[in-house]
Amino acid sequence: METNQTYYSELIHKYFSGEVRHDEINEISDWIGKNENNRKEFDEINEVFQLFQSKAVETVVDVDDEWMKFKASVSYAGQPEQDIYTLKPQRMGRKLWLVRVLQYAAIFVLLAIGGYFLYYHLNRVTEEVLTATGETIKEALPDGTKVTLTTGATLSYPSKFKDTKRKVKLEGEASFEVVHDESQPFLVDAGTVQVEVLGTVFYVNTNAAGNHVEVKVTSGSVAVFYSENPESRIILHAGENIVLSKSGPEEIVPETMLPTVSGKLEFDDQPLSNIILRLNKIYHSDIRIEGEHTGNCRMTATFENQTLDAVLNVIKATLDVTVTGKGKTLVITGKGCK
Amino acid sequence: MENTGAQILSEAAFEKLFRAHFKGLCFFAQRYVKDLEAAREIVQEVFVLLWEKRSTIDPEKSVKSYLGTSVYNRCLNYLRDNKKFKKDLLIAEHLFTESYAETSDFVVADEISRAIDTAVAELPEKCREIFIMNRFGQMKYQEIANKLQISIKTVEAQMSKALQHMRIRLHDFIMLLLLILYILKK
Repeated sequence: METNQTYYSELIHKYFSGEVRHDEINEISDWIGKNENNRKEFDEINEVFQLFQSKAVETVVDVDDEWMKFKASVSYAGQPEQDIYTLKPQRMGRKLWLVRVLQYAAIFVLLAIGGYFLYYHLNRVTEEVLTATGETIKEALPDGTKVTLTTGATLSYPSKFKDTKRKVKLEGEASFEVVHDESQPFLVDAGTVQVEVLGTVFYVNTNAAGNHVEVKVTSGSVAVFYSENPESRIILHAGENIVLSKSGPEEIVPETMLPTVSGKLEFDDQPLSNIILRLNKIYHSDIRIEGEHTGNCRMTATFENQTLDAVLNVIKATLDVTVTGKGKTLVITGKGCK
Repeated sequence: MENTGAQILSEAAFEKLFRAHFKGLCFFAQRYVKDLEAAREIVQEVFVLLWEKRSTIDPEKSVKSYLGTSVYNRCLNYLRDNKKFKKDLLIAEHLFTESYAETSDFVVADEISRAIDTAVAELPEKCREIFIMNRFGQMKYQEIANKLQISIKTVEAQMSKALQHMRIRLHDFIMLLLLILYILKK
């Protein structure tokens, strides 16, 4: 009992000295709640400590000192900045100012360099090359256009389409599903032959049998033309296809390669030479143009499921030309156009 | 600009307030936190806060209770943060509901001060040294142990010895103090 009493007295001394741990606080609390004597012991120790503390506060706490400390802390937080600046020698201020300016300058330079590299990196256009070596590959181009390359095909395209046309270069066989963008037509450079589209699904084979380029259109429409003569365009619609000689417009396409056509045949201000070329392919005909300038005559017409005779009748009437010959072997003569 | 001049504490008025209440608030705060240094810091913080809010406080009415309440709240926060909050003990010490206004008339009579000095002088040298370091030098047991190159247990034992002696020597004063408080409260 006696040792117990001493133990708790010491614990309470520690408590008022601010030296106890959390578990000891609970111990004290339990102990004083047990009986009135314990409670009295606690009160007496408390009283004697308060006597010491009142003396300690009186002797240890220096109000002048505290007031100075207080003024120092509020002057940093609340006083006008002017007061702080006047405490510093002018030269020191100027030095700090220079350091500050240099810091900002350094930050600015770093940001500018970083920005330049970022800009350069984001805008750099590199040439991407896709090659289907072992198997057919499907890939999306930067504009979202989907391309399927057949084995052996190579497609080069820029990492970013920044020119007026989305130009890609194809060697081999590929299908395209072009994302529609009127402002930036999609152009397939198939060597001498070019295929231009706005947005459509089509197929190009630059290695068609007999040194030919073949173009098939699944949906939408494409314009096909020779690089050397971009004005003469052949418009292909959905379901249509065409086989063109790589060596140039003059060469006659072999019949075995002739495509069949269904649907519309559209000529938009086309020279007769192109129209006949087209007709020869579609109708498996052998029409030749005689007269130096006859082929230059232009016309615009749309035919839908027409016979070759009907088409030729329209051409005769429109361009004032004569058609002679038999069957599909025909000759067109006329005065010619400039 | 809209504030009436009478409601803004001038710096001179603020200093007066500070000097009048600083020690009293320290005494009030140390009863909770049991650490005079922590109490001193809490009171400083409360005055800084009052300074920032001085334009919104009516100096005639609420300053004293504002100070007391602020110190009280901060002390409870301190106890909570240091895991020393025990409601039962605060009630036992009459601290849980007590306000600064009631305990603010803090004076230490010269007689009591002298009695403490006499009692301290009677302590054995080692014991006295430790007691003074702890109670008036605001040193922690561990700090004293480190400084004197003794164990913390020894410090605890010496402190207990000193306090037992002080209790006996100051017993009459404790009784007298309680009596005075009793009369004053009446």
